[in-house]
Amino acid sequence: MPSITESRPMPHAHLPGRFERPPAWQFLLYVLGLAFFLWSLKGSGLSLTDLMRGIPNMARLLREMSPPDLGRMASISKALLQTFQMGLVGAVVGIAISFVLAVLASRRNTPHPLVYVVTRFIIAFCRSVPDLVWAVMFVASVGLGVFAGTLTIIVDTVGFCGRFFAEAMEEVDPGPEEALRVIGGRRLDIVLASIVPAAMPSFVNSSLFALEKAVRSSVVLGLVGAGGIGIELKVAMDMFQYQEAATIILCIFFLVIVVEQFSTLARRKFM
Amino acid sequence: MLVHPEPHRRESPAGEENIHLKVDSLGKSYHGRGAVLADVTFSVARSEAVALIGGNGSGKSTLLRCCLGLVEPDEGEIFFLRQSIASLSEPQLRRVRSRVGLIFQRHNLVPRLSVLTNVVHGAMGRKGGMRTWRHCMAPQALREEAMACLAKVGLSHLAASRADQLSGGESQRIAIARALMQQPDFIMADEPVASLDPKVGREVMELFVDLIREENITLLYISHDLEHALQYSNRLLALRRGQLVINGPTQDFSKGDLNAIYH
Repeated sequence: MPSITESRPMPHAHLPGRFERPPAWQFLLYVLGLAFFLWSLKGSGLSLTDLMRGIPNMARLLREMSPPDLGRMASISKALLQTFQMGLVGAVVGIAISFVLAVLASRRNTPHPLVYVVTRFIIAFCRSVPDLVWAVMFVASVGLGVFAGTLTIIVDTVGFCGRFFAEAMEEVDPGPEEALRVIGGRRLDIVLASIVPAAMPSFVNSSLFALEKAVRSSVVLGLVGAGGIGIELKVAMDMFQYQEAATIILCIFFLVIVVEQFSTLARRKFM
Repeated sequence: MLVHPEPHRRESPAGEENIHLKVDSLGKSYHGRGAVLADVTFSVARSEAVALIGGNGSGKSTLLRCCLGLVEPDEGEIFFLRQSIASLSEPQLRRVRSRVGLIFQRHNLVPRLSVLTNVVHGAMGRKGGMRTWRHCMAPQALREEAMACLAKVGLSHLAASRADQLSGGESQRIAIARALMQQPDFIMADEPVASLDPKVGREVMELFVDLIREENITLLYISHDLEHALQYSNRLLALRRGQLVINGPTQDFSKGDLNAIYH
């Protein structure tokens, strides 16, 4: 019996080349892109000389930071806890809002195309404005403190999770959804009984990343007055209290590592 | 017997009041593909078991989907118990669908959820709401009913297992249990055993047909397996290039006759 290759005529006589020659306009774009990057290297101020010159200063700073000053450990711990609480509550509330918006912003679930456009716009707007800009706006609106920070994290999480949740729901196998539609399920029943469970691993993954991101953000937000340990770090650095700043940095490092480890464990358990 | 060049419209012997499903002059075209269904007319009487055969792309799945209002036909009408599908509002259509079980080739169970939850989903059309989202939210009577459906397909011991950890044969049995949970009076099946090996396929098909006979349910199933079509149906429909070329009692046809529609 002849083999498959023997019995069938070969439709392509020529072996295609390993690489395709790009069209002229594409080649021109590559060249322009490379030229812009080289120009940006200059614009970004990247300098090996300055870096080498800065190393002794960095070494001096590290010397001045050690040993870390544990004298204000109680108030630093309180600020650290407040930072974590801000990140946690901001992330959880943001995830809940993201879920509702994502259902409306996924093509398969949206009740109306206009609702889809509006919710997509809200999510894109939340995502495209950087968190520090949100923080400055909220500090100006609701005053200095953790509330402004929590609001910032909520909005930032909506921008991050809203998009990923909507995409996860659009990517799930449509088969089970069709099965429940045929059974006579209502739209909400189908979303919650079929689409959400199928997209759950992706939801959990995005939510854990959002929590990690929220905790890291909550540290930085203090620098613009949005509460948390960031403000403690800023004050310590401004007052040249480098040993105290070292304690704060180590505490931040500890918090971020603990959250990341928890996140890794939770991901491993759930996925 | 030769395949009829013109649609062979020997209607089922039932009277009009006994007609469960009536398809009248149905036509459907897809953009770029031309007519998928053309002037398809047949009816299915209560408690009949009807096999629908035809080559790939002959319009079988489209026909089934049109019958459930999942695909809108371009021409013709479909009547379920003398009610035109086209005239139904969305809630009325949901009520009709809730009484029609559809078994898919790919089972279409919700992955990650338990077998019991998947069977409880079968009650979504008649109960609705959050009681049918998960078995833990369902009333005790509904959970027990789901267990009874699982017992009918012989898989009650898998109630707590995850649906995505089952074999193909087990998944299809669970899909049958979910369809039984609908308390249907009509079941449609789109190549229900196509993804299973011949032995498991035969077992599942026998179980499926036995249950349907026990419960007195009307059956319309698509099959590529001509032996299954001849063995488990009492009437045959065949589509070729969107046209109904066979519509008659199964005993009138041999495997050779049916093979002819694929050429």
